[in-house]
Amino acid sequence: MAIDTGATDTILAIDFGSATTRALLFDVVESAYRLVGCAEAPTTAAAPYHDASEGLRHALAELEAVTGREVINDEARLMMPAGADGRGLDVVVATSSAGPAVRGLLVGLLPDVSLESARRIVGGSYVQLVDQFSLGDTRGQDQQIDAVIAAKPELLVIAGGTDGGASEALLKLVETISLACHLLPPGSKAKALFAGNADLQARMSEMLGRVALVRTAANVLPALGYEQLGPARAELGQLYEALRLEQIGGFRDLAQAAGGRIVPTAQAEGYYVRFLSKLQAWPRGVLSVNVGSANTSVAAAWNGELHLSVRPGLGVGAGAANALAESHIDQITRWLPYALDDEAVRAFALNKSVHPATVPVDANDLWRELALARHVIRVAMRKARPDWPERTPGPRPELLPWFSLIVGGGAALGRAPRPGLAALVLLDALQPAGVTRLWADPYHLAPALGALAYVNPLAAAQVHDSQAMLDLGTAVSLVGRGRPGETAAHIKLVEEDGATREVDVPYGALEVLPLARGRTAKLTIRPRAGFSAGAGLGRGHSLRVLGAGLGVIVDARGRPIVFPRAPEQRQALVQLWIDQLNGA
Amino acid sequence: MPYLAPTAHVTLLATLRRERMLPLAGEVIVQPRQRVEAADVVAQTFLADRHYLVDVARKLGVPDEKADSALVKQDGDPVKAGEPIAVRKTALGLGRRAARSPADGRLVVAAGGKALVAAISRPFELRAGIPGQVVTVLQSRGVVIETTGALLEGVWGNGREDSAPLRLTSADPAAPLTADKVEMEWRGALLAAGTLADAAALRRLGEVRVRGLVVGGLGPALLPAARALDLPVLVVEGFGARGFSTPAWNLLTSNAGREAWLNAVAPDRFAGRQPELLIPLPSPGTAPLPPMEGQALAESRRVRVLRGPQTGRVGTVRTLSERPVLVASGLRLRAAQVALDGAAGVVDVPLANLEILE
Repeated sequence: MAIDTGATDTILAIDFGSATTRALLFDVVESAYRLVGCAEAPTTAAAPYHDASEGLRHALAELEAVTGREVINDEARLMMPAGADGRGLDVVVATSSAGPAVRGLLVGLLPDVSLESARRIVGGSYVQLVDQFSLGDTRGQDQQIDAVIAAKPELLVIAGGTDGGASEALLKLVETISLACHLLPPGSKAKALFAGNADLQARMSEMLGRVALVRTAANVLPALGYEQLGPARAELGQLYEALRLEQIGGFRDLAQAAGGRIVPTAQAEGYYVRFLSKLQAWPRGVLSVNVGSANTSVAAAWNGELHLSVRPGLGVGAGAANALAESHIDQITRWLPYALDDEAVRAFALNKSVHPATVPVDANDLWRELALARHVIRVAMRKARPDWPERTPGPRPELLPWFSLIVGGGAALGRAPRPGLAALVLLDALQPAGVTRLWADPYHLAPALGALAYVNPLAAAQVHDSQAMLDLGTAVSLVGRGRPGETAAHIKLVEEDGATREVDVPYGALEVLPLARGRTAKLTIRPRAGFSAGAGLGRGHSLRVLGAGLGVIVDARGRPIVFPRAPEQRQALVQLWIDQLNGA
Repeated sequence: MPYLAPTAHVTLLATLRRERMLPLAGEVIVQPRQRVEAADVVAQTFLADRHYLVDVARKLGVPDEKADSALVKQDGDPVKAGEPIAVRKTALGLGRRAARSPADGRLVVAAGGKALVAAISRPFELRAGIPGQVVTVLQSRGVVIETTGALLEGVWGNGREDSAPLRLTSADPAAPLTADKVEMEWRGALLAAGTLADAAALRRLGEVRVRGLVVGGLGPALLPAARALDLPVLVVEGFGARGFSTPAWNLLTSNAGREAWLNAVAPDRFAGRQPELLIPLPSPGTAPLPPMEGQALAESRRVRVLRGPQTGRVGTVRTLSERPVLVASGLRLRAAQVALDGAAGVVDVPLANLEILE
């Protein structure tokens, strides 16, 4: 039901991706905020423009054409505030993942303790680790200096020592790094964040002040066994934003319009995922993956506790080449429904990385792109999982924990031509277990709503309630092993009008039970012995499900998915899975 | 609605300006408006082979805070191996203790009881790379040189550069280069080869000491070897079995035998670095225009297809769709009707899969 907000703010949300700049317009429609239009254009933060506002102007011109609303004036500037005639904007929020990965160097005392905390401080940001220093470092000081020079760090993150605890060893390490920083090219003064022993804050500022812009935060490890990441992450976020304002042309002007901030996209998305995880609808947590051109982020949240992980340099565009380095090539080809030799896959990924904005032109090209997307998600998950809570409930430690909701975003998933393909990529790449709602984010709403929540939480909540995300349906994923063809579960779907469908889903199959948007049904899952759908091995359960997207997708392929060894069989099976969901 | 497509330069003649920058601050030794040849040194600096951290306080036997007053060298001073950096007289002034430089080089910084010494065996000399006129001197950092010539941009480079006469390995723009075809007489030349997927051929090129390689398509498996090769490698079209596009091949064939500068920098979109082959040419009277940058895609523009069955084909834009159209992948995208060169006909290509050729 619409809520009377009494507000009439027109809101523009902008996201600068490394390949694409997106503009989303929100306004009050029938007393509640709604997404009223979106548009995109290539990002122009890099050469030859070196000015992100050029691409933004194109996106806004497109937005005006789509919505019929004027948001820029004759001088191509944002019209603020909105006039009584409905032209212009009241609020602008901006997010960005554009720009080269920030080169980060970590310093800590013990590799498994403070250095690990330093790594967790930067783990949710677009920072690429170029080196790390600790007491476990076997290099001599001379070598450490040469290593710093070779690494050319833009950001130093220093942790170590409990408050009032160790100091000399950390000071010695930082002294070496400080000396090395004298040798960095002029104009490349690093930024430094110190989040260690509070007693050393002044000393650190003194030691590093000549070679770096130093910020301090509360100790990430103030006492043994107690880690507080929040203050250091907040400070890092500000350092990162400041760095981006310096690096990317047009950002300073835009930040002025956007309340002084251009929030990192992953951070904004994480904020939205945290919000979702507090809703009663998602008691088992929310997982979001955003596969971008140059970066991939994973946000997992349980009851407001967010774990955000970013893999800078890994993506399906500019970051495609890096995906090759992470695993054997068969981790990509196994998702293809046809034979493709390793060299062709490598060529595809390398060409994608040099022409990141290109799009698939035929079905086989699309399967390649989506195979790469699955692989990128799996690689990003490998980084994200170790930082999740140890006792997260799930079927088995090596499998994905239970999640009530999974959201897929980014260019590859958002661009999937049919909802079934987006659902299939999420099921293949993440291999969830139990009952999970699947959403896709074709309009890149998650970061927009996250950023909007900072300045207008009501608007963010209302747009969320308007169900602007693409709801793909409910997935029932069975964990267990069986013989091909053997029934894994009996599924019964009873709609409110009594319409009933029952199906025995064989092991290895994907089955779709359509349920139209707006309809509700009672879903009864009866796994056979040896299989579980979230209630225990062989234990059945019933739940109410809302119709949307494909309806109910039953994934009886087991966890983890096992592929036939023979390539022809594997390809035929993958084609079958595609047909089952792509045609749904 | 205009569309911002990327631009690739395959330019037969243009006025070109190129920054030549030192990796570290140093000395520029040319003047504005001075003419330079490709091999001329325009700036120099000192690049360290390695660094030494000298514990001055410990060598002198004093606390850290007292070591600085014993320094006899200042930051930036040249030092010889064994030369004192700091000296302290011992008790009663009868002896001396010294902290000495471990190598020939420079004292980078000395503070807090430590000294950082950069070991330098020889100065780093920055050459002009191209013949032309110095139009800007960037104090202590480098110069901007202006010349006229042909420009061929690529998509990947291995981070090296060199100048030499350009030579084609075949009359076929897509001919694969194999080890058995590598000739000794290619020594000292910048080679242009259609495709290269033979690791032995790459090794052989290093053995015969060619000065550089421009390749239309590089086999992906050769990427690590190409990266490690001690000569510049430029990939023009992309990875895999794709030869040169017709305009690129025409540029290469019309300039075969001419001195060329292969600057195979690793591409960096944010730093504005693109690997390229530049062939200096005399200007016919009035200076030609600089290459166009950042234009929107429009009718009559020359374009190259970046993806799909027509990859590498060149053509002319006939029309741009205002609204998205359905393509065979199932995506709905804005597309252009492109009349491909030759008898290849007219095809619809998503705008995102086109680059403007200039």
